[in-house]
Amino acid sequence: MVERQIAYLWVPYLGAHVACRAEPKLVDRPLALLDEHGRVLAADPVAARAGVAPGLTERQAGAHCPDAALLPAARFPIWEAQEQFLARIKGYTDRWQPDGLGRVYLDATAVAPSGRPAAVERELLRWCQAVTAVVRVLGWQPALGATGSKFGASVAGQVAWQNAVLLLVPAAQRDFLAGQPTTTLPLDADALTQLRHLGIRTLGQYARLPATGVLARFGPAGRTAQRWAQGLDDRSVLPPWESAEVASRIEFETPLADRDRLLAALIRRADRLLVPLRDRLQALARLLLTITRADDRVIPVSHTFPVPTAAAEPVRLALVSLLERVTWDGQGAVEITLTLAGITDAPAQQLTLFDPQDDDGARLSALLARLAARFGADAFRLASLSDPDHLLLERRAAFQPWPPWHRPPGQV
Amino acid sequence: MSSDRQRKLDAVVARLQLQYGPRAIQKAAPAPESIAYLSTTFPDLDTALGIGGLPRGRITEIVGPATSGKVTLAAKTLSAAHAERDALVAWLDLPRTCDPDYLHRCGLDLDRLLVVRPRDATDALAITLHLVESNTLAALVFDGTAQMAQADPASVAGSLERLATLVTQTHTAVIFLTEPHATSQTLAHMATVRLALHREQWLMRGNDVRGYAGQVEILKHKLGRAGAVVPLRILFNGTVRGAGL
Amino acid sequence: MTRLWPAGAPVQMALDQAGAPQAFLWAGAWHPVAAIANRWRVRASWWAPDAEAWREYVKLTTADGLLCVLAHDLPGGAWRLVRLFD
Repeated sequence: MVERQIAYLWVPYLGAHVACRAEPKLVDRPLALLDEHGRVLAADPVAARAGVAPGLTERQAGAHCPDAALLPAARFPIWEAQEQFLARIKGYTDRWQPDGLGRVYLDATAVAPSGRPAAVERELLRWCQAVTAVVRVLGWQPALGATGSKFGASVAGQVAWQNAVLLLVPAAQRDFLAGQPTTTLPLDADALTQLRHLGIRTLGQYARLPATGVLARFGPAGRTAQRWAQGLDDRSVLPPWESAEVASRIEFETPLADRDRLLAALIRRADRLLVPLRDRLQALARLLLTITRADDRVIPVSHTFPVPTAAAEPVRLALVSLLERVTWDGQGAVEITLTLAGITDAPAQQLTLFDPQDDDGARLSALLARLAARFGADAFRLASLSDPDHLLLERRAAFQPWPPWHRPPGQV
Repeated sequence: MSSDRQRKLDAVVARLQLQYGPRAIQKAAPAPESIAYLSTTFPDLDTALGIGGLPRGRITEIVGPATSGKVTLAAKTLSAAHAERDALVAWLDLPRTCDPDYLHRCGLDLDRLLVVRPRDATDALAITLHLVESNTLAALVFDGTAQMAQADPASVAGSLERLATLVTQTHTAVIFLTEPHATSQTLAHMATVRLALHREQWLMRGNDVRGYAGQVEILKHKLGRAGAVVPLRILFNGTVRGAGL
Repeated sequence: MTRLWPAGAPVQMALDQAGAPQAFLWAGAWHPVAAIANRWRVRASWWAPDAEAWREYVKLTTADGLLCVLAHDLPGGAWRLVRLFD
């Protein structure tokens, strides 16, 4: 049987890089880009380390990082950059699945479907390096993780960080995942907080919990996440042209023109459709309404989410926006079909390798990220004995900026 | 307890003891606070300090000229902090003369040492407040007290007062290193412990200096007894690891 | 610890007729040399012109109680304080 190989390719902070290329003066301060609803779409490393995460409101972002420039993403050619990024990698696989700005899954099974393990690994490594090389040509610094599952590949890609490739033989995947933090799971903030309070910090600890207990406490979504932590993620790479959709029709006995009541009905129906998506850790990329007016005129309107979501609030905001775009001409609606389209994997809530609340080292790193914005990143250093036996005293040690993800030895 | 409340309590105790006998009600002093500490790694000094070392959650000032051993004493104390698994320490390096090679020889784990190089004394004190408030550090050494004289005195005094209050809510031992010509009255007042070092003799091997010996005097000690004077020996390839110094 | 000046703190050196250090001016004061404890020469990275260093280190004590290491740049002649024990 052919062993599956999946790669996760990502360009950290692509949005911020595009913005700073377009306006070089922006490098002087932390940066966050906002979508059309005024919510954070992307942040640069300094703002991200200060806690500015996708989905935060402008006000929340400003509270986390007062020095940050909060600018509309529409001002910059971000989606053109995303298209360029995807165009580059399409030649390396038949099956690819975008996972947000600067992120994509690639099915690499066909690269080396058979042969001796060492030869397969060599071929895969060459392919991984070639894929990252074509993205580097665009001036980005990509990272790539590859192993036998989507979840394993995405975590490996994050660990690989910039300009690196991390290829794991599928057999090593479970051991690798065991040491990674629970914040890599696409669970909501409440579930992650509960895990922290229970002392569950790593995927290995989470994987070893009783399945029935996980299901009772965290529901089907938590159980799905546990299977991923155990290396049992059997999802395939789902190209955009194969993505699923689910539709539901709402009929009104009398034509309904009241916008608030229409919205309430749509929200109730959407909430019902979203629950199974959340349980399966899935999200939707597009929302469509097909409205039939009392005069039999059919009006379609659609909304594409910047980042796939199954959260109630972005879906509610999208429904408000869609209803406002409809031309009613004094007519009420007799029927509305609500379609959740482009169903795909839910992105992880926090794509970090540590939870800032977990331990002193992580909390210190999070604090230093905030202080760096005010006092300068150069102020905080890590020393190392680069050449302890050097004859010249001053060349024995070196300083580097305190790394953003520095976790001293012994800490998870 | 306010003096007014104290007087009232004393009056109640006195009245009841008069009426029912001296054992009817007894006042007791509060149990001595258990002080967390960091060993200095010099046993005589730890003993003289009475609490086992330098206090955590307090400010210590070590005063001494160059080559008195004050920096080595601070570094060795930080190495004692590193004996605790995962403990982090910081060195605030205003003079920009931090020597990682020597710190490593003193027993520090460089992976758990944050070196801070602020632009000036004002930034240094502000950063110190943030770091102490975070309660993520076992110890912080502030090297460069002399540079504080270049900052606004009122601002420095305010920062030190705030630090003295903040640090008691943490487990961080804050250690200031001061040259004798640059002492600060505010810092001297805020410090829980003040030590003065001076070197007395070189320790030789042939013509080469292999270390030095001196004394540490406990100038001030709010949690123990001041006045003790203890010997201090710093041996290269002994107290400090490795040949080649 | 020792204080380390990676680039060396420039000092003005007073030498005797034999070229031995007598005193050096640093931080606004003259420090008379009491004794030379050790000295050694280093020629490093001679294969890389940009990184080459050829110097003599002198470990000495001063009359006012310092123990330090000075570096004498042999090609150029400059003296620098590189290490001060404390």
